[in-house]
Amino acid sequence: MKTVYIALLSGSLLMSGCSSLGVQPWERDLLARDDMAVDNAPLDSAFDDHIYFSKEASSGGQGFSGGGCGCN
Amino acid sequence: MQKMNKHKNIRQLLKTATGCLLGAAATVQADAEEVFFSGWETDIAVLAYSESDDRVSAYEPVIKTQKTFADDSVLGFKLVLDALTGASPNGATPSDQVQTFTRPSGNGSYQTQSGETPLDDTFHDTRVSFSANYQHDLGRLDKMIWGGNLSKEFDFFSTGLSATYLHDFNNRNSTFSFGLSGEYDLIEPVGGIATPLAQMQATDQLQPKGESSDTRFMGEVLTGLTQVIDRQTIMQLNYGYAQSSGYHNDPYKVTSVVDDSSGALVSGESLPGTYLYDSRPDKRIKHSLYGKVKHAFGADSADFSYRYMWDDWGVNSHTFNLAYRKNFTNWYLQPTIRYYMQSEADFYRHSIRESEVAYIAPYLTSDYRLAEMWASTLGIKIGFKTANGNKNSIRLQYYHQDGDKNPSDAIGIQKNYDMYPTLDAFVIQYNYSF
Amino acid sequence: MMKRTIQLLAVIMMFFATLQVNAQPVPQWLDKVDMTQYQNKVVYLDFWASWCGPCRKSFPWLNSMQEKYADKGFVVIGVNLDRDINTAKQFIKNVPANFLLYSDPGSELAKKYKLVGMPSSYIFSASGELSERHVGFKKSKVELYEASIVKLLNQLPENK
Repeated sequence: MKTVYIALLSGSLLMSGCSSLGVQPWERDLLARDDMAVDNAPLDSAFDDHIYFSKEASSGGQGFSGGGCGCN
Repeated sequence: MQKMNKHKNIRQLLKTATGCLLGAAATVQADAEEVFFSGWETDIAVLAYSESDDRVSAYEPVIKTQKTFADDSVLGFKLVLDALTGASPNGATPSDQVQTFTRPSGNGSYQTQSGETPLDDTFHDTRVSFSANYQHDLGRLDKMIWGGNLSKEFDFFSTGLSATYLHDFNNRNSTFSFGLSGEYDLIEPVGGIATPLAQMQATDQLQPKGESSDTRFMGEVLTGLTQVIDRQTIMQLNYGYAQSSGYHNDPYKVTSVVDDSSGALVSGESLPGTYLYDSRPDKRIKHSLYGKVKHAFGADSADFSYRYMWDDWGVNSHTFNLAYRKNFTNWYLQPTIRYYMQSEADFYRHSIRESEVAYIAPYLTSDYRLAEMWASTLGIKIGFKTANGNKNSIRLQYYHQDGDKNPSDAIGIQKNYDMYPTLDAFVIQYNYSF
Repeated sequence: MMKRTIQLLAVIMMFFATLQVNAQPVPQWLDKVDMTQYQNKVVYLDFWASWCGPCRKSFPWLNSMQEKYADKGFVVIGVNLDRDINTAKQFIKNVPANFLLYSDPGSELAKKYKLVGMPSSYIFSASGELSERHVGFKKSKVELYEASIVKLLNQLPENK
């Protein structure tokens, strides 16, 4: 339970501190590139996750998107 | 051109007129169907996995398709087929005698020569898995992703649902995600549920098996933050919590009982050796902390991630992953390296001594996947476009897994053998997108 | 005489027909965006970049809007925010534009209009006032976007 509190606290600190980081909407050219997507090869990740889940005690951890072009 | 336009207008008028007579809905329906079935982006992929020493081989063809609609919502489907053959370690350790084991069905047995790691080659299984997901906007800065999946193999059925909420803020430099998922598993082992800690019996004996099936339920929360650092850098940090309750044993795995002083086989009730069936808690809580950084180096990029996992079975692990992408004009090269290490579960033993049997309960496992272990993967991916502009890629990987081959508590003859079933596997994968 | 006139008319019609069939829109890159040049016109300032997916989707619609309302006083200016104009020119080869273009590699106009997302469109009424602003482009919203254009066009004296 203590670990959860620490995680939540650091999470909220992170989120408030992050307001100063980042780029303008027109500066996302590199981030919009295919290879710069947070999970740019979901099929590969799925294959790997399945292999490692079958052979190891750990699984998952990787989350969902964000980043990229930032459009719309 | 004007002439053509005039004809087009007349055609349009006629179409509308006919529509009114027959019921405009019919025409609209046909158009809508045509529109729905076009614009799907599809990936087909095949993975071939092969372990050394006659262990597991798998062939996994996959087809995945998705479409983005006019309102930016995305619908996706995926079908996976997984054909497995080959042998798996059954948990027993090498001995100086021939060992005999009974197959899970209770009909038939297999033997392991002296000095070899016992492998059960009973299984040739096929798994089919189907999943669907739907993503849609809630507002300009908010999205939901819904998912469902179904999976079936000979002795196992699984179904799950998930919902994830994503929120962009700080001018889309930050994305907060919160996801929930639930999974229901039905385990129907060949031969029935083995009684935990009961002795494996010879084929002509009554098998220590109970019900034909059991269930397990898992709930998971995954939350995280993705943050753009600068024009070239993006980071992600996630926390995951998973709780599962129900049947966790591996009904096909056993633990060897060896003589206290010689480390040799102990005569069983009906077999030459004594082997106890796997027994695990009926609850497991896992936590994970995951961090990733991606940085663009000109036209290239690097991806580094680290995951720390810990659970209430005593296992904690570290996973390091590094990939470097070298982009050329029409193709790319991506070498990768992964390093994994885990500690053993509290109730893991490579084997137990005869004198411990009386008080070993309640939990015991010799499943190498819960042992202290480390693994490394070396990989390379090559991507290119074919003449028609479609993407192709080939991926090759080499996986090596090892554990404590000479544990300090090895007794007598055990010191002569590898007490961990070292694993070497090759993976080759081909992807085609159109 | 009649026969000759008809033949001549036919030739002229066919000539214009071939022009329309074969003509690719010719990209016109402006040297500057001077709003005073567009008095009594409704100006649609669209900020785009080659790496922006929704921008690519918006071009066919922008082309059709420019064509449909050109003679009602509608002017589209696509302001490009690529750092290198050559990347933008390459994009235009693959995704043609029949409207005016302007290169703003230093993002001066983007900063001036306080852009919050890509793509962004700013619609100026005949008097040069900023009337509407849209962030993002969704095919499902084209009717909405077109309605805001028509509303402003109807305010022009010649369209009343």
